[in-house]
Amino acid sequence: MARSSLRTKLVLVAGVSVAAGLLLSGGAAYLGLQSLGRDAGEETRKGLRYATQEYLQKHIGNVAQRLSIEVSRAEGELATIAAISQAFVDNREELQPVFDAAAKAPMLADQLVYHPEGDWAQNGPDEPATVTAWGYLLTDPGVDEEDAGKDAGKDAGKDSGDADSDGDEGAQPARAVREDVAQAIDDTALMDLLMPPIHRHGSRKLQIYYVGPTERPFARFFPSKQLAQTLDAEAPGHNEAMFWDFFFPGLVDGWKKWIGQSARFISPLGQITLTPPYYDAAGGGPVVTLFQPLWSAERDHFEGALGFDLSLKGVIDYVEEVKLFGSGFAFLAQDNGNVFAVNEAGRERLGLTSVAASGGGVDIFEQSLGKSSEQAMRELVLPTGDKPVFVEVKLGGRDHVVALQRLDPFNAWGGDDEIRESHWVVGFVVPDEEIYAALTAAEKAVAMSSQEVLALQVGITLATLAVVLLWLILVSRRLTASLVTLSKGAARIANKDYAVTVPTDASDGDEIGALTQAFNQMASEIREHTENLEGLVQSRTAELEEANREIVGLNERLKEENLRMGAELDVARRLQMMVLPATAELDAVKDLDIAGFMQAADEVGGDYYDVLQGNRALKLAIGDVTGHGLESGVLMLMVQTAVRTLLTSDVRDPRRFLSLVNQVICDNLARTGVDRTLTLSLLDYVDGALVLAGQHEEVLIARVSGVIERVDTMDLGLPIGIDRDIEDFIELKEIPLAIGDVVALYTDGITEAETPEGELYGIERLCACLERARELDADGIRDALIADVMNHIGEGKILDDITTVILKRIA
Amino acid sequence: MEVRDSTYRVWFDESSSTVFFEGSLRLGTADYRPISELLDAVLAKNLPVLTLHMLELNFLNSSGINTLYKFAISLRKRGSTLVTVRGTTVIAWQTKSLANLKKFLPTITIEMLSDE
Repeated sequence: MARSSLRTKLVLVAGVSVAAGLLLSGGAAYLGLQSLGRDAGEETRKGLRYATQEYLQKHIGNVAQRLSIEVSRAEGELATIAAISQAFVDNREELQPVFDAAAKAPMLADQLVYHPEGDWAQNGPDEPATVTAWGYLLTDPGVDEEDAGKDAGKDAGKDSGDADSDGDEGAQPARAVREDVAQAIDDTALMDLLMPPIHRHGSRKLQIYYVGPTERPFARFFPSKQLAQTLDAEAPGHNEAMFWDFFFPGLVDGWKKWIGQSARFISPLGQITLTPPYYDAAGGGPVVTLFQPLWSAERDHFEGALGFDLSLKGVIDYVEEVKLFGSGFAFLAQDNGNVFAVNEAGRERLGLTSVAASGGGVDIFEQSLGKSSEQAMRELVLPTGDKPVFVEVKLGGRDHVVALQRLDPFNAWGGDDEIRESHWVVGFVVPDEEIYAALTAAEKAVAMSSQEVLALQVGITLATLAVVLLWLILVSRRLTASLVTLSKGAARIANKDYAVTVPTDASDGDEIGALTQAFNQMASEIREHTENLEGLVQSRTAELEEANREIVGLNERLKEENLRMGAELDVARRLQMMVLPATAELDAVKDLDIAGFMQAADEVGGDYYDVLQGNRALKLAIGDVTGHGLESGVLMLMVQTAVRTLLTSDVRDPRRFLSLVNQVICDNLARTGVDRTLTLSLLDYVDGALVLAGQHEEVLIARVSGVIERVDTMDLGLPIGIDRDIEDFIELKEIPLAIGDVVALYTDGITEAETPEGELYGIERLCACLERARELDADGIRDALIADVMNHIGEGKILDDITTVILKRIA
Repeated sequence: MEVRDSTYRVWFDESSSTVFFEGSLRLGTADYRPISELLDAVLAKNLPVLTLHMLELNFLNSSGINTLYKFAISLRKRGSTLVTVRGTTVIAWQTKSLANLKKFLPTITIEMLSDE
């Protein structure tokens, strides 16, 4: 039980420690790897975003440039032919012979034939260019027969002579081209030489044409085709309305606003005006028309305009074919948000719907961003500067980057008489996920490798744990086996089987080996002790007997010592009592009633008092020698002898008297090497006055009046036997005594008498007792005092000698 | 340096140059010798200043007082040590006996704390 629990604990503790360590380090590594991946991902994302933006910026710049070039090429060509035509106008008079000659040249001569079914005149289809004069440019045959017949008949008559032999002529009267119109047609015949090469080379133009000024807007149109017939079908009513007003309302008025602006006329290129893109009525696909107006030599009159119908197919194809990342695409829009070039997928992505709109004479196709089903597109703001703009938008719920770049500016006609500067805008749309495709792949790889690291970590943890546990189990088996053996041995000892030896071979070197050895040694000692117990008891008993004998011997010696000490104390006590004044001596004193008392303590102190009749005065003394025993007693005897000797020698000065006592004692103590001192007060009584000298306890005086006076003696001297010269410190105190006054002298045996509890008797009790007893005679006062002190001590021990002397003046 | 018994303890503290007396001293005359020796050893150091700290000495019998007086006389003979005694009026014997020290050693300073 104990074995398995100890082992389990060992294995558990170590196993948990190892597992915790491994798991913590593994967790830290895994978290570190994840955070590294996250940081790297963020960095890469930033880098990718930057690189993508850089790439898109360059790419969109190139595309914009390419598109601008496509348009500006056509503008250059238009400017060229317009410049020549303007030269014709400017130099009409000088070139008139050339125009006339050209008009007569068979290759350039235009033979217009009146078409009654359409009511217009047009030249034949084999001419280089189609020239058409609308019905309102023809003469009315009934009104102005002569004029019209002459002019139109000259040209048309010839033609009708060739072509109109089918007999239609008779049904409808033929109408002739107005004179001024015919002249203008002749004057522009040379254009037939210019239009074909310009059309053939350079940009993709569907048509080149010239339309005359508002007062004679005939059309010269290349390549030749049945213009009037086509327009009759596509634009009914055109033959009755002025050409410019019908097809391009407001355009000419817009141009006329430039008259007087000299800057406009420095470079004719600055006058080129574009229509919105539209589908060609004759099925030529998406086109945009470029116009360049011509002006009179004075630049104050509109002289018609040259126009190109530029095919947008190339531009649109180019835009639609731009590929960005996976599904990114480009689009081209007018600056009003109308998208006119975008591929099918892009159109869907931008949420555009195509609405056919009719404006004037041309169909304008409209798919405006403003009407997109995508909120982001509806709110998209097109750039107003030349720098590319990047916008983050949500399309179809996914994040996209949109790049926008404005193309070169041009004059735009929008259907009224305002000609504005306008731009086309090219846009790139790229899904974020395609930009970050590489990053996403990298993050997946990081996540995968994190998983692998985690798996590896778990594997390592489990393997390490397994190895550690196996090792622990093996080691703990060996350890606990030794302990189990030991505990079995201990159990046997507990059962008083001391014949135990635990084998130590298994674990010699370690602490358990040492423990086993110690155990064996202890077991063997216990065995030895148990076996020898009897012998041990015998030897111990013998030792005890020996000790007992010694103690008995010591006790005997102690008794002897005690006897000796007792004898010493006895001597001391007898000395002390011997020198005390006898009652007879006290009674012999006149005027004073005197009572003395002394009780030695168990250990004899050194109290002393004396009453001696000198020649002049009565000498009283009271003192207390330090310490106890014989030496104190002897010192007391010396003091008594010295006092008596000095009194006998009649030394009258109390200061000198005390000083001499001190010197004698000092000298004697020095000789005998006794380490004692004493306090001593000496009093002289003569004629009703006491003179007090020497330091001792306070002197108490109970006056007849009932007042208790306490006279302190501290300043009256010094302890005796310490310092040889004390005379300077001795002071005298005179105390007058009235008859009935009581003086009490005492030693500290009274004031320091203790109750069994250690409470001191004290001077207050002494005073109180004196006050109570002061009317008694000296013996009575003494007895009352001693009784009070003894009562105070009670069962307690008398620690020090108790001494008192009571004086009462009786005469 | 220290002398002690169950009821008292006397020791010299070098850092504060003070002899501390503590407890109750009721020894016989001869038994004061170890304390005298301690005081003599302090005397031998010839210290510039010395404090005798008695605030915790509740009782000193006449033999002990005698020992103090003699120490005071020894100090006077050396003459170079400024001695301060700290006592208290709360303890009866001190009021009575410490004043005598001034007589044996006039340069001594006696500081008596009252119980306030």
